[in-house]
Amino acid sequence: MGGLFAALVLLNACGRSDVPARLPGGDSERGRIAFQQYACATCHIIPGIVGAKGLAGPPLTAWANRLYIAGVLPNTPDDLVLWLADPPRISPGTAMPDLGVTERDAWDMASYLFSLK
Amino acid sequence: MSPFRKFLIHAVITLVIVGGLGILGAAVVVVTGVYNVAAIYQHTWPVYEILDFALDRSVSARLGGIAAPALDDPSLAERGFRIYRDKCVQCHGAPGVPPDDAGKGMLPLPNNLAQTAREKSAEYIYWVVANGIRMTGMPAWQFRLDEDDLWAVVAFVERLPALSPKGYAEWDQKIGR
Repeated sequence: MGGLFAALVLLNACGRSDVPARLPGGDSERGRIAFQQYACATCHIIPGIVGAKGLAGPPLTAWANRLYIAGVLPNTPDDLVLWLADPPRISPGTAMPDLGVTERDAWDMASYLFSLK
Repeated sequence: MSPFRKFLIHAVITLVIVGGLGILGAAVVVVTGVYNVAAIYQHTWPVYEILDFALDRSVSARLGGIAAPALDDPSLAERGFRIYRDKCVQCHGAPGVPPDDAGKGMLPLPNNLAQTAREKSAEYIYWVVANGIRMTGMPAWQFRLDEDDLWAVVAFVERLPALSPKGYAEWDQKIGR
């Protein structure tokens, strides 16, 4: 039993070593509220946010395991913050507008999204 | 006393006690202010789902007698676009266009109307535009817009699902202010 537990811990440590559970400087609970306050819930399904059932954009489920942001950027916290700051700059023609997300809020939002496994 | 009569009396007493406790509980919630009305905190999940369902049922129950006119006339949609740009985009946004700060700060968040157009009938959208929805921030427009203008807005909203961000920007350029 103890051996199995140790194996699971090790497996988990290896599998997740590149995904921080909590981003340094990011407040995921504040980020969760920011997802309402930047109207993200209008267009996305977001786990943990009541009423976030939008179908205009992709669902943000299991975010920590996703490989790409909007199909154009590798899914890292830094690139996510870059994307949130001005999506049309990264992907011209995207339906996701520049919602005026500040850098602090973007880090909090990234912290929340990367807590979604 | 017959067993049935005895049962009836007990049932009534139980109902009165349970009902009284319910009212007392509701009063405690209201008077203590424990339920948070801040616009940064959404309703709890059951309250949200019940309200959302009730809203949909309420609108659906009031569509009798409303029949959409023909909405495919391009000039009607253009007239609707002008009104949309003036009065709707601030809260609802548009393809590639964000809502203004007031729209973003609202709870409930104003719907993405491309999705609404996919999910609801023209009559349903007309009813909501004309009558508004109490306590959601959606105003009633029937005292601001005449009947033809209300349907013009619906005609434009019906076109949203087929509009790309580029397409919306082209309408914005093409149709002068």
